[in-house]
Amino acid sequence: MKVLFVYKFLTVGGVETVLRARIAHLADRGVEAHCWFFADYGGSALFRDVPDRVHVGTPEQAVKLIVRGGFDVVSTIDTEEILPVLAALPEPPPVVVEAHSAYLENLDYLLRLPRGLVKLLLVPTRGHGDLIADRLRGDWSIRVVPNPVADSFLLPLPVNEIWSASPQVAWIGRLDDHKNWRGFLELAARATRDGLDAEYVIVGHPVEPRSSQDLQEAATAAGMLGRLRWLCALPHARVPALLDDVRASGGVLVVTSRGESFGMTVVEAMARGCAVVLPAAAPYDETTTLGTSSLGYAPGSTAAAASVVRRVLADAELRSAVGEAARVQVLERYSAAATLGALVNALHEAAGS
Amino acid sequence: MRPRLLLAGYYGRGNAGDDAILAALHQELVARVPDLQLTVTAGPHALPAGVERVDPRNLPVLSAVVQSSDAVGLGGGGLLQDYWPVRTDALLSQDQGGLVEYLATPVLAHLHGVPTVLCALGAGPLRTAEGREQAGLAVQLAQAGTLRDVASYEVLAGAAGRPLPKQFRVATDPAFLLEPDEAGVDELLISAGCAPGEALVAVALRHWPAGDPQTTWLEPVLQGLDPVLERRAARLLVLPFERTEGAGSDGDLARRVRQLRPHARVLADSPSPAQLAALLSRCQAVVAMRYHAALLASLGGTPAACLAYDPKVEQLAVQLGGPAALRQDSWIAVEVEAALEQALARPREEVRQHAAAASEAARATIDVLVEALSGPRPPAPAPVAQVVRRLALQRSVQLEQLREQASSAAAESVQGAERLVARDAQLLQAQGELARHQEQFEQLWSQAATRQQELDRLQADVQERERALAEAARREQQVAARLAAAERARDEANRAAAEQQQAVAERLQQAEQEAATARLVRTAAEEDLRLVTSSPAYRMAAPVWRLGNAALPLGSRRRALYHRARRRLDDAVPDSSGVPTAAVPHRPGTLDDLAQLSQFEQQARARGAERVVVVLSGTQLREDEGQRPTQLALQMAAQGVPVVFAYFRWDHVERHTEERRADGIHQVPLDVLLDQPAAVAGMFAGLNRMLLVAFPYPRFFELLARCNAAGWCSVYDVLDDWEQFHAVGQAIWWDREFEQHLVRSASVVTAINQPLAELVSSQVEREVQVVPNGLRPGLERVQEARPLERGEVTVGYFGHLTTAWFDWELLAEAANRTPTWRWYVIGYGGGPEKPLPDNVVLLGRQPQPSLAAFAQNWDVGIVPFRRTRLAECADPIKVYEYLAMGLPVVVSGVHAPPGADAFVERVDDVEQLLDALGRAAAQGADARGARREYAARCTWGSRTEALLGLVAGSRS
Repeated sequence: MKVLFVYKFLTVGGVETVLRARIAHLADRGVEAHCWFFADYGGSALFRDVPDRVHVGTPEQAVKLIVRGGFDVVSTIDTEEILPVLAALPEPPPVVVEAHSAYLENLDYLLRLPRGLVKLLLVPTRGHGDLIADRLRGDWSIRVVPNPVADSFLLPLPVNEIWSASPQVAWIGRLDDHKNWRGFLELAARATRDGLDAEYVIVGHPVEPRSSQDLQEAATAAGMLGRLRWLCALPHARVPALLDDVRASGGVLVVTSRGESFGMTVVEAMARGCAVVLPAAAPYDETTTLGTSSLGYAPGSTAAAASVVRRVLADAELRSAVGEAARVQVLERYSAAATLGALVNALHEAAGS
Repeated sequence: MRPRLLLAGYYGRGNAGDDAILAALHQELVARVPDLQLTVTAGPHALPAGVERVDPRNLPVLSAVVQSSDAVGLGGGGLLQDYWPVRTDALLSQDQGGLVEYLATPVLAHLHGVPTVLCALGAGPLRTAEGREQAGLAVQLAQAGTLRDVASYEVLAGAAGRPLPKQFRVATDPAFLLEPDEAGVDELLISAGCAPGEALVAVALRHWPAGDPQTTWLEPVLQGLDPVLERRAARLLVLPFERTEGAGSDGDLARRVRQLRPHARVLADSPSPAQLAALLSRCQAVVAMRYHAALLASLGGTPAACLAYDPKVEQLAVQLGGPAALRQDSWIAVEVEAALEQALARPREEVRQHAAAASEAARATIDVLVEALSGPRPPAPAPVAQVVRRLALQRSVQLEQLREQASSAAAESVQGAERLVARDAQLLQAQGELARHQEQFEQLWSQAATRQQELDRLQADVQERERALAEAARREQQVAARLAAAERARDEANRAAAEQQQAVAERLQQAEQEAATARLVRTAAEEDLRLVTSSPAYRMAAPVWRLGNAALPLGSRRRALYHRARRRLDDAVPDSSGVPTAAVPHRPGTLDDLAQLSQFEQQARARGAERVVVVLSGTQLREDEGQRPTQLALQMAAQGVPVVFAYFRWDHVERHTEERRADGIHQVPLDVLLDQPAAVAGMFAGLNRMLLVAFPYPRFFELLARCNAAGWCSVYDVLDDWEQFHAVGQAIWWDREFEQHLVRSASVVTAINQPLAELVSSQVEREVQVVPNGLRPGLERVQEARPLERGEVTVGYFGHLTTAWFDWELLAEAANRTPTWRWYVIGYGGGPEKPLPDNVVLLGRQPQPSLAAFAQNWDVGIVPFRRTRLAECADPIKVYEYLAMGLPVVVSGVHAPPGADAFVERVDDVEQLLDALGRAAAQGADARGARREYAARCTWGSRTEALLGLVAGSRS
């Protein structure tokens, strides 16, 4: 079987990392995977050892490869630009649409999907699938294919040197309203007012010219700048070590996002045995076991979140138990090998084989 | 042999009420009979640890378990009712269900001669003759027992047609004996979305009539709750008591409540009965259709408003002493609101007392079960009856086995038939396809003949085209040869044009650089001119010059004569200042500072540099001013490390005054870097990169974050107690929060002395290394002697003279008391408020290279600083310089450098100062070598090595 994955930009991001892993692991299951990008922004280094499997060009050029290369399935990842070109073919291949974006406005293109062309919609969680089903008109076949966590997060856990005097409470994400970094600062301020001695670490890059200044001003206004460390645009390869530090410091990862399709950051932290405090809502009620492999709080309640953070920081046994359960769960569910079964099944289903 | 008890009931079916009964019975029985082996007829859901289960429909196994038991209990819970059809013909078969299924266990016990007791059994309603008959059978099969309430007793007596024997008593539900368990209740509430401490009113509903999905009564009930919740600022918490799925389940009903009242919360987890009791005790009240919701709530004193779908709920409301339960015709908003308010008005202690009384009554059931385990077996029936019973039992079991086999065989037959039908269908389909293929084959055969004719014609056509193609190829070769010649000519022309273009571009670039230089020089000159014309001297001299111009007009003979005379006068009078008069050259600016920085990066790489240092300095690089960032930069560059020295400037015109590119130091205004933090963080990738922050400027926020994330090693070198500077109006940009952020974020934090390191550590708990100030070798060399008048003791000072730290009063008092001593002060930046004694000589500012010549006349060097926090956190470089010049040193306000206690004495007042100076002067030249040796170890070179060592050992 031969499949082409199509994604807009070739950077060193999460999607590209997943695609690189797919090329390697799908080969073991008899699937020859290729990737097509519309523009290269420096991510080709990821694919240096498989240069014949990665292609860059326009949608029209991609279609030529699809016709000549005898691909059984084309899978697009939030990349609608390829669809009209494929639809114009006399005998288009079966198309799978992978819908990952957590930003609802980015999913509007699903309303315009050509019905005859697209055989399946793939989503990373059941909850995200329900959300999309609510937005779509008609009866679409939706399958759940969880995202795999990168292999570097599954390496054995080191016994870290504790170099931070206080436990670290970390937050990872883009500095935008959806990810709700301001909510994290509110939580930090509240927990500090309640007597919690912790260091707060934000890992996230600005999305607007003023983001940096906004962060500094907001942290100052909340009285939290002195307790804050900011790691702007930390390379993904360094995130496992950061999470190991957080775990070793007796800290936790906190999520304040207003919604995720999957929540890869959470799964990555779980893989490193790091306890995670998150809203008790979708998709975390699916990707984690609330109360066992993660600790939930009432969504939107800063007070509840701060309370859970204080409790888990004070209870090493609870932290350790949650971290261990989290790692076991990720190893079982979200390694590349564990998730590829669902992907391969879906690709075969779309291809009709 | 462990005693064994078998309980028949509705256990392990996901019903929290029945599970609560079982949990309480297990809790109490094990306490009374520790080695008890308890087995229950049960469904697939979880049971308490240690309790075994048996499937009530697996007759052979159930019969074996009954036979091996010492007693059988029927109950508890409301098992004897006929809401569902009573099929007496299904008794002891796989089809048995409901009331008949519960009776199977006592019937088997009777057949095996095992005693049966009723166990807090609830009865009613019994509306059919079959129901009453089977309920009467239950009483007949039991030797003793308890009924859950008076109504159950009366129903059974009615079914039996007479009062029950005295060994049947009225008790209460065993769940009253349950001990609530607080463990994990917080997590349950948080998982449900309830905030800690939030006021809650619980509601435990069920579909009624059973399984009816309409629930038209739901909205009126919720409307009754709304005003109460609003008045009490309470949230509604829905408790699904039966964990089954699908339409008509409690979960389905909970979802409907959420749709109707989105602010309501639903308990999604499955707590243990003991946890459920503890959770209910956190609520202000419970609205209960579910019998055990009201019961478990009462254990913690939580009052209930009961909705009676069944008489047992009315009975419970009476037992709890609360308001009467509302029957279904009263499930309207006004009644529900009133009932809930009535419940809420009850004191919790009163509810608790009723629960305690009920708990005592519940113990009767435990007594009955324990007695049954240890009591005698029922009298054996006559031998003939025994044979008949055994035969009946064997036949029943055999019958069930036969039915099972028959059922399997029938299923297999059906599957076989289905396979045959499927095969037939496939055969028919295959025949149809074969016919279709034959038809297609004939069509294709016909098409093939036609195609063959076309092919012959095409072959002829191809031969003709091939001939034409050969001719075209020959012509193409001719054209290609001409084209190659033309391309060679074009390339030649392009090359010439490119060379011309290059030359033009170079000239253009040169011209642009010259223009930019000219612009900057002009701007600087304008600034100089503005400064000069606004000075008092200019304003005073300008009228004289105007007068001179009027008296000596330009080009006049008088003016020429004047200039000739002036030149002669200048030649005769030497320059009195001794200071170079040439203007400080203005560095030409660059068109693109970042481009130049990039060029510096390329040069560093070309030189094979392995590391790079970017210094963020509050001052410019000026070697003779001896600032620490300057000295560190110079030393690092001397060790072959490329240095980018970013200096603060007050406006965008100011440029650096010392060019150090040849030394490996590239200077750039700080604001240029701060405007492009992402670009800067991405530079020098692959090298060991160090960001040396020399002052806590809040605008470093993003650059610091980007460099840290990109793997730079960031060093915050704490030079001063910045808060103190800020307090006296300097360092106006200082922000405590940002400095703490910087301390927390830097990979390495260093401070110039121990008190400053401890001050920083006390604000942000982290390790701060001490890297003291250092010495620039060569300063101690005397270039030209500067003899001074000496006293009995000659004391000297050089450095800044600001009153912020220089203790003029101490100096004046000491000088007053020592009229035979001589005191020399070299420096600038301030002066005494009162006149000094005559034996104090102020020498003004002196060039650094001449300091050693002055100090050569002194016996002791002093640092007379005030005792302030600012001084406490200083490490004066002059101390190292005094020692390098061989002088003993006496200090006040500051500390001796590490390891210099033998050479530097610290004093607190004027007496100590004079004593110490006297002792130091008496040392003469003896210790001079040791002082110089100590100073030689304190060079900026050794400080730089120490700093780089810390960086190498850091995590970044």
